[in-house]
This record gives sequence, C-alpha cells and structure tokens, in this order.
Amino acid sequence: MSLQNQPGPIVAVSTGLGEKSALGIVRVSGIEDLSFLRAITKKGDGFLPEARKAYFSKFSKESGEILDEGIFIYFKGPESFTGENIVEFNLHGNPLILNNFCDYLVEKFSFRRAQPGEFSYRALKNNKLNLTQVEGLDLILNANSGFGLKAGTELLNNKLFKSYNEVRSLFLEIKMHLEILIDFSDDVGEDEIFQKLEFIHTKFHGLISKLYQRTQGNLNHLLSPVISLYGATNAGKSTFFNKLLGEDRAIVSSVHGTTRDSISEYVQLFGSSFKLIDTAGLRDTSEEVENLGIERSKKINEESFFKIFVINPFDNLTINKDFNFDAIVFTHGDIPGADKKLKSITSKINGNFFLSSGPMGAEGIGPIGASNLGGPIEPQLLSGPIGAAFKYGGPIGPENSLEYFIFNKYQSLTLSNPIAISRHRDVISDIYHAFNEYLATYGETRDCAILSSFANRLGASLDELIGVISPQDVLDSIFSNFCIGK
Amino acid sequence: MFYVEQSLEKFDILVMGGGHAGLEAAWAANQFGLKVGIVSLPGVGLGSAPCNPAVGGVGKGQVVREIDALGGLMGKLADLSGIQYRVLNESKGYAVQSTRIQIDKTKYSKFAEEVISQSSITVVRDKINCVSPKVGEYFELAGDLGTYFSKKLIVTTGTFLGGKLHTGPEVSVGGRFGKESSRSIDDLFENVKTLKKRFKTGTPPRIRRDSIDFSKMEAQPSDPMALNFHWAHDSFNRAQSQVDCFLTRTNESALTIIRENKEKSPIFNGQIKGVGPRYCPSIEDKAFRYLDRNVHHVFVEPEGLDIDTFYPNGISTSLPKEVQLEFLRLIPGLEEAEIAVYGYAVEYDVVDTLDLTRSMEHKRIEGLYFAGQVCGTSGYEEAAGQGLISGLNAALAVLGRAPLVLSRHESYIGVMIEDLVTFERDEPYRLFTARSENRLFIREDNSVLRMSGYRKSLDLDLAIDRANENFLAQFKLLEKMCEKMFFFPNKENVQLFDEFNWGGIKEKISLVEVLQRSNVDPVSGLSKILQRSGVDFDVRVIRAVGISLKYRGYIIREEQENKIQRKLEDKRVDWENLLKNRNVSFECKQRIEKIKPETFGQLKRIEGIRPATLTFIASAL
Repeated sequence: MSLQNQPGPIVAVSTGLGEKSALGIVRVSGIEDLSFLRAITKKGDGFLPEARKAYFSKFSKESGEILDEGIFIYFKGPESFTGENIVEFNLHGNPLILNNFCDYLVEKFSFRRAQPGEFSYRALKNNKLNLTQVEGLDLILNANSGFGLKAGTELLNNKLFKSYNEVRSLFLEIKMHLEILIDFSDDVGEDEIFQKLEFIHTKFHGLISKLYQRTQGNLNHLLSPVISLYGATNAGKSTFFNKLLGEDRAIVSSVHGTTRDSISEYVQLFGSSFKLIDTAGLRDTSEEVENLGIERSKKINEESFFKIFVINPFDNLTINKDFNFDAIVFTHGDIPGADKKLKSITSKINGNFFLSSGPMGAEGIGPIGASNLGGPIEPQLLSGPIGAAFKYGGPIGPENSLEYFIFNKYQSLTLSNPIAISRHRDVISDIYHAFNEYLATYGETRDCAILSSFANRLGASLDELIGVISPQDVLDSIFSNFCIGK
Repeated sequence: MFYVEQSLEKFDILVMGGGHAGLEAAWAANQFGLKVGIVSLPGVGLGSAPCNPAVGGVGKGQVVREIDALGGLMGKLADLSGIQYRVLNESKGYAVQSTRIQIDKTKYSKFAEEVISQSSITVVRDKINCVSPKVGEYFELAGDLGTYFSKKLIVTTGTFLGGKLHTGPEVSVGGRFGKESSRSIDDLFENVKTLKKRFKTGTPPRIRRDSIDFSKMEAQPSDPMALNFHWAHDSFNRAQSQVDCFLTRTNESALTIIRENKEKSPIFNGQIKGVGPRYCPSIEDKAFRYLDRNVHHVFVEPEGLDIDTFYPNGISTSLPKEVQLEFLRLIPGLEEAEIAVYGYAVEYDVVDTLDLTRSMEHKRIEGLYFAGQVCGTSGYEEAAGQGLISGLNAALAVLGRAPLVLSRHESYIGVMIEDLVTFERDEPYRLFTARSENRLFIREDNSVLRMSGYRKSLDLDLAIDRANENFLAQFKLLEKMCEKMFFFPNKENVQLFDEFNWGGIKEKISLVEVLQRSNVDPVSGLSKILQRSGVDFDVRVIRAVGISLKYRGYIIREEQENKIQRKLEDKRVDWENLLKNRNVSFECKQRIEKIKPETFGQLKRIEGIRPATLTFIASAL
C-alpha cells in the first residue's frame, strides 16, 4: 500500500465504534475549502468558522434529511494535528449515526475513507510529528498496560528522541575527530585529538549502554503482560481464575478436562491491566481437541510474564527441579490431611507458595504458615513466601498478597525504564554492537581509514534511528568546532 | 605549438584558459587526433601556480595519481619541478596516505609550456570579449585580436571571470595579482547561470628569502621515500635538487595587531561580499573566530629554487599593506621580513554547477563545458581532474562516442564531479577524503587498478595504455604469488618470522594472512620476503599488492555493507511525481525540482531535504 500518492480530503470515525456511547467524533482532514461544511450546516455562503472555536449546529443532507446534531470545531492548517485543515464533528455515539455521516461525506463530497493510520501519516509527512512520535502515538492508542501508556506519552513528548539526539551528536563528534585526523592532520595536534576521541568514546559507551539496557527484557511482558494458570486437569484452575476475576467466567465442574481451550480475561491490579489466561489442564489424553489445547497451554505458559502453577495436593504430583513458575497455588486446603501433603511437597522445593481454601467460595487464598496449617485458613487473599510464613506464622498482610506479588514483579520490569518500540530496540542493539566492534578495532589499530569505516557502520545504524548524517554534516561540524586550514 | 595572432581558424575543441584545468582539458582532447586549441590571456603563463606552490595533499594526491593513470599531465609536471616531497598521514593507515610535492613555480610553468609546444595543440594569446551561441556546428569567439570557431568550448577561466582584487581599501579589477581579468560570465555567455553569491579566495604576502631568519624555524626536509607521481618516472629519482620547508607559528602579539585592525579588513568591513572557504580561512578569520587561540601554524614554503620569495602558508590576508607588514614581523623568524608581494583576496564569478552533467557539459547549451575554479572548486588538483574529464568528454562528443563518467565508488574525481552536479553549495568546494564512502579502496597505491578500465575504454593505444596493462599484469602475478605462498611451522620459518618481526608461527599460514596481521606492515613485509626469495618487482606494484591484501577483508566487508545501503540508494525515485505530492514541503519541492534526483541516493544527498521527507519516501520505495 502506498499512501503517499493519495492526496485529498479523508474522513473517519475517530472514536471507537464497538459500543454505543454518548459521543462519537468524526474527523475530516485535508479540505481545501469549507463549502461542504456550509452545505451540511445550512450556514450562509459567507460563513467562515473561527478556528478552534466550538459551534453547535444541526447537520443535514441536501434533501433536508437530518444526519445528527452536535458540535463542530475547525482547525486551520498548519496549526492542526495533520498540518492540514481539519474539521471535527462531535456527534451522538451511535455507530449508525457516525457511519451514516461519513457515508454522506464520501458520496456527496467525494471524501475518501481514511486508511488506518492515515491521519498520523499525514502528520508525519507534514512534519507535525517525527517518526518516533508517531510510534509513541501508536503505543498510546493501543496500549494494554500502564507502562505502554507511559512509554507512549514519553515518545510523544519527544523525550526519548532527545536522548537519541544525544547519541547522534556524540557520534558526530567521534566522526568529526576521526576525519580531522585524516583530512586536517596539519592543523590540529594528533595527541590532542586522540585524547578527545577517547573521552568521547567513554561518553558514548555510557550513553549507548544505558539505552541498550533499556532494550533488555521481554517487550511483550511489558506491553501486554499475561498471567497464566497452569496445572493438571481438575486441579482447580478455573475456580481460581474465577476467584481472581470475581465472576463466573470459566465453566467449573468436577469432570476432568472441562476447560478444553484457554480462556482469557483482563484483570486490573493496582491500576494496570493484565491478561489472565486459564489454560487447558495437563493430562495425557487421546482426545485430539484437548491435545491441541494442551499444546497451546504450554506455549502460553512459556510466553507469559507471570506463571502460576495450580496444584491439588492430593494429586500426588512430583515437582522436579526445573520448576519454572512464579508462584504455586495449592487448592483444597480445607480438606483434612492437606497440611501433611503440603508439608511433604513444599519441603522439597523452594518457591512462592500460596494456599487456597477449599471450594473457594467466599474464602480465598491464604498464606501457608504454621498457624494456617494448623488452624482455619484466613478468609482473605493472603500469601507469602513459605519460609517467612513459617517463621512468623499467621496472616502476613496485603503486601504479601498474590496480587501484590504479581504487581511487584511487573514493576520491577519497568524499573529500568525500558524502550517500548521494537524497531528502536533492534536499532539500539545494532548500534550497541557496532560500537563495541568499533571500540575493539580501536584497541587494535590506529589506521584511521579502518576506524572510520567501522564508525560508518555505526552511523548507518544511527541513520535508522534518527535520520541521515551526511559527510557534509561531519565537515560542517569540523568547521564550526576547529580552526582548520593553513 | 603555434602562436596565432590573427585567425579565422576552425577548431574541434577550444579551451578558454591555460591553467591546470585548461592544460589537462587540451592535453586529454588532443590524444584523439582532433584540432585542439588553448586561448589564454596574453602574459599569463600556462600552468601557473598563483596560490601555494604545492601539488598533492590528502585526497589530492589520490587525484593526481588518478589523473596520471588516465594519461594526464599534472603528475609529470609536479615530478619534474618538485623540490620537496612529503607523505602526509604516514602513521594513519595506507588508505589515507597522500603525497605532496612542493613545486618550483617557474619550472612547473616552463615544463607545461614545453610539453604543450611539443604537442600539436595550438595556443592562442588573446582576450575573448564575446562568445556567440552556436550557429550551425560552431561557437564563435570574438577576441581583441581575432575571431575563433570551435565545435566544443571548454571554459577553464579560474578566477578571471569578473575577478576583483582586494588589499585593504585598494580594490582593482583582475584575475590575480598583476593580471587583468576577463569579462563576467554574464557578459560572455547567454543562458549560463551563475551562483548568486560570488566566491572569494585569498593569498598571503610573499616574503623575500634573505629577509627570513630560518634558524628560528623548524626545518622540514624532503622525504626521499615518497614516490614520484608519474608512471614513466623512476619512483625515487628527483628531477630537481631538494630543499627544506619551514614551520613557524603565530603568537598573541601578532594576532592582537590583526584584531585591532578589524575595521580595516575588507572581509569584516563589508567591502568583500564573496564567500570564502571555511577550510582555508584567512588569518583575519582565524583571529576573530577563535579569540582564545593565538598559535596557528605557518608553513614557510619556497616558491622555487631560483625564486627569491617564500610563501607563508596559513596567513592569507587582505588587510592593508602596513598592517600586513606589522603583524608579519611579530612572527618568529620573520622579524626582519620584507614583503615582495602583498596578500590579497580575489572575488570571482562561479558557474552554477547544478546545470552541468557528469561529463561537465552544460545541460542547456550543447558543446559548452566548464572545469576548474570557475566551477567553484579550490585547488589545482580539483581543477585538473575536472579539466581532464571535460577534455575527454568534449573529444568523445566530437567523435560521436558515449561520454566517460567516473564512478564515485572508484575515484575521488568521480566523488568530486558527482558532488558538484548534485549539491547546492555556498562555499568553494575542496576534496576531503571524508567525502568518499569508499575510502579504503580509493587509494594512491591502486590508482592504476582503479583507472585502467576507464582509460582502456577510450580505445587509445599510447604508451600510458601499455604501461597500465603492464602494471596490471604484474599486479595480478604478484597477488597470485602471495596467495600461493605458504609457511610451515618449521625451524627456519620460526627464525624468519622472528627476524622479520612477524610474530609466531604455529601452523601453516599463507603470506596473505601474514600480511594481514595487525602488527605486520604489508609493504615492507612483502618487500622483505620478495628480496629474500630473490624476486624482483617494481616498488609500486609491491605497494599496491601489499596494501590491497592488507585491506582486502575490510574492503569486502565494507562493500557488502555499501551494497545493502546502495540497494536503497539505487532505487529510482519519480521526482516529477514528488513535485505533485501535496504533502512534500514547498522548500523540499524547490530543491527536488532543481536537482531532479533520479535515485534515492541522489535525493538523500540533496542538502536541506528533511529527514521526515526521506523517511516517508523511503517507506514507499
């Protein structure tokens, strides 16, 4: 698809069409004159809306048939999102109304329905946004997590772009000093330049290493974190799933293999949204459909950010040392004898154990501790590392709840302020490796042509991040920073 | 050589100007057996060097060798008149090493006259007042003394078109000191667009030899190991006796004088409107732009063996005469300096090279070529390179043959010409190695390798062609020998490696691998082992092979990367369509319309095209 050869006015419903809501916005961009607006508002020939002012009006077809009534605002280019003239219509949120409205503009005035992302694309073309900002916008519009939203806002505010520019200007300095060594060796002292160069290397290394660290870690975990439930059939995963959601979403029954495929829902924990997936239970089965489900469960589990293993202590499961779960939830804690079973299982492995009490009606999950094992389980979602719980006994408080535990892990992922655009991650990783290669070469040789060749490769990666650096940029930089010339 | 006084002669190719561009243009064209002439102002010597008395330098040395391998003159003349040799960037890798020769100005010009006089080129001494557009096959040139007709016209007039000299408040009309200037470009040609801004260049005062105290300066002797430029010359034999250059430095008191006289400087008081090159600033520029720096190098260079003057490189100036003398005498060694010729700045007209093709022909005026400083370049070497290309192409055009275009990936001349015809410029253009994307390959040592294909395509069977072929054959032979030579880890070889400082030998290793070791110098390494084996090769071949092998891996790697980048670079763009695109900004459109880029690479190199514009064009490719 090539958007660039398709100019002209475009129209789209800019708000969600999924559910009926009170308001919906239709946006039109790229209109040369406002005759269409005069036509549908039945305003006189001389009407010219003041930019950025809200007008209330009825909107009707030529035939007089009313389309809707509402507010419209005119943004005059280039002071608009796309840089072109824009009119925004605030209409009633019924999708029928919104679609009708767009259809009429398309039929009557030959506007074109915008392709996905076309408004942003025009903003990019008209230099209203840079590429990084468009990526940020995309992130904001599609963010599933609190982190995604924050990262997107940061991009839109150009904060990340600024740190890229720092990398760029340091690179320019590296290149500049190498070129001085070659082209202007008579003018500036060699030792002085090598000294400066090494100083810049250190700075560049610091900066790119920091950025590189921010590209580590799984991006999916950050943008759409998944909590998965895993375990044998009928261990109680679905019951636990419902418990966490607080609604009857999964079908619960005592027949093994009730959940044949994964079920997912979003849960909000401390203001962030997590996808909770209830996977099909593990069981050797000859049923093909279920087998497929189990395969998928394994895959989901591998990719999820928080893995919960659900165990019925009476299942006599052996847990091997490759234990790779963030938490284990024991069900059926109220059944007599559960405490003994638990003690024997938990003594063999280390990890975070949580106990859910019985059929999990109103009660919930409690920490495994000396007191719990002996007595009734606290009717709240409490949990804790087994050692601590054993040591201190009794209910530990909300800072040890499973939810908090999940959120804590999520927060630790975002602590390093990770970069959220995978294109940037790739390029930064390229730059990081190219720079290290360059440095290694610098350690071996003072052949400036070779060094410069390695630096050029670094530059090619940088180009991808922030635009082209030409030889002229390097020369300009030399001329403005050094006294060159005999 | 025939001096023509009054003539109605018809030429195939006439070259206006006998400087470094003009010489090469006429010489190149004359190889094809055409009728070629040079029109030069009376009293201006052929191939004179009005600026610093040196040929070569970083990037420029490569150009001189390219010219030489293409059959040009500059290398030969420089060798014949060379009085001090130097290899620049000796410690910075072979790829960027360049030769520079200080020349005896008088001798250089004398040899130029001699070479031309021995050829069938006609030299006309006249001042051209009018060039009429072609009527039929011929341009008509009206001079003071006669009228001349030519099928092709190559304009190599340097700073002479509309030239204006400044020394302090004294302003005179002229192309250089003591010489009158030609008419302006507008007067001479219809339809040739000049740049709005005129360019400016300057020279330092010339100092009398016996007024200089050399004992207070650092002497820089001639380097006996630097290779001559010309293929037919022995590598190390010097035609002239060798002398020293000298180094001294400016100081605070000298610069204070300059700073105190700012209002007297034509550059800073608005008298000069032209734009000077940032890479070659006058001493006024240095004084005012770098207030915290008072120490600047001054290279004191002899202008010739029997010439009484020295050229203090680094202090070009257009200050009033008394100020020049005052600050000069504060520099160590110049306390008693007497000035023979005062420094001056010259402003001149420049042709808009965006109107030229890669063969240096004007896009709208068939048969009209431009080359050299009139194209807004600086440097003798740059001028000569363009002269050569324009001369060859004018001749090929007369013969109805396809033009010769040098690729920027194979030569500095190609880099320069592509830059000239695609970049908008607002200062004089000089070659820097930084302008090339292929620096590891475009070297001095392999110039014959790079140029011989182009030379061969001319289909001339002259001495140079046979020399090139011989070089190629020797190169291939030695390269193959190196590839087939292996060392086994025996006692003798351990000793040999130790003696040659080649490091250890633990398993079978090829000579190529040895030469690629980071601690092995490929040239002396290869020479030593050849000598040991009793094999004799020309030193230039040994250099070319050794260095080529050393860089082989890097070049292949770089080539692969360039290829990936060039994939996008070589993609065609439809510039006419871009002009219709309402989302391309107005300024970008103007630039695109001017340059008419055919590929994304050309588009990318247009100055002032916004990154955002590039990003979306690239995404649509």
